[in-house]
Amino acid sequence: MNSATPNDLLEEYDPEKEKMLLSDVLDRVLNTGVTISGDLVIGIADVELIYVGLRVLLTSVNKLKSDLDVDGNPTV
Amino acid sequence: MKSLYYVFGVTKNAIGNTYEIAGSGLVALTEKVSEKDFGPSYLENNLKDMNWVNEKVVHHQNTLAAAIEHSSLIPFKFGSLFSSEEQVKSMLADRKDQFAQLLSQLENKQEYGVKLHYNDLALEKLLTESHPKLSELKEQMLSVTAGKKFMLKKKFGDLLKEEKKKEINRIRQEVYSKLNDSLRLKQLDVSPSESVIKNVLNLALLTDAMSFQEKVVPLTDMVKGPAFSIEVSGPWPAYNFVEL
Repeated sequence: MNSATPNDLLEEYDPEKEKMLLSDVLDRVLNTGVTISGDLVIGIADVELIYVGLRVLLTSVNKLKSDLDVDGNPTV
Repeated sequence: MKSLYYVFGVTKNAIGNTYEIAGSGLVALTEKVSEKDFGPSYLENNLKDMNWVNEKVVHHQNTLAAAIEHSSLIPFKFGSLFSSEEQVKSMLADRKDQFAQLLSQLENKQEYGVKLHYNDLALEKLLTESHPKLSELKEQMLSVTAGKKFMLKKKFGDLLKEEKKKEINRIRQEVYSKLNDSLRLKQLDVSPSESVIKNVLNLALLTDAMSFQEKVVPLTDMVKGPAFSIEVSGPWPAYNFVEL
């Protein structure tokens, strides 16, 4: 998967961007797509639950990062 | 230990990247997975393991991303499991007409993500400098008593909040209208963020590569600056456009 850019310049590595893309992947794979329960019902409900859990976790990671300064010390 | 059949999605043609099960004029992109990973008695624990979830979710996406380079496809949701090839074939037969109709709608089209972000600090700075009333209040605050300064500060804060809201909505509307005009799109939940960069519009578009170049790429140049930016992702399998 590529981020579309108006030109072919090499973009600077940005860990924040990587995290956002992972979040997009999780959003799409866990929350969308055709839902067909196979004969093995592994519980779409289970998947919904982890999805909610992951969203909470990602939000917490973001919050934690914003509460730390560049050296990793608490800002408050 | 028994194998299970994990279905990533359905296409019209064989691709060759995965274990493929053909039936009813369709092909299910599958993989034999271990009961230790997806079996009902193991899955509950595995779902609690973030590394396991990440690995499997990324594998699901990567498998489909490789497949959309060759054929239009219907992506399945994570964890679509079957106990045998016969069960997969039976699913293809049961949904044959629905799948065929959906695949024809997806022909030559893929999903793209378009997110509008704003930088809270940059937008406040921009408005403070460019809005006459806000600049005036800021100026006044420098030369008044503490009591009056408190009142002016409140007035400044309220006006800034109001102007920020107006400006964000103006740009959101502009981006949305330009895309909604000619492309099939869906509005998704905005991504939560505690940082100064906020996501205020999250869209999924279904389009062909040419329309993407014509409609979306120029938008990233138009909305470019310290206060607002557009992030584009994709092409994705059409996750958001495959409801049955």
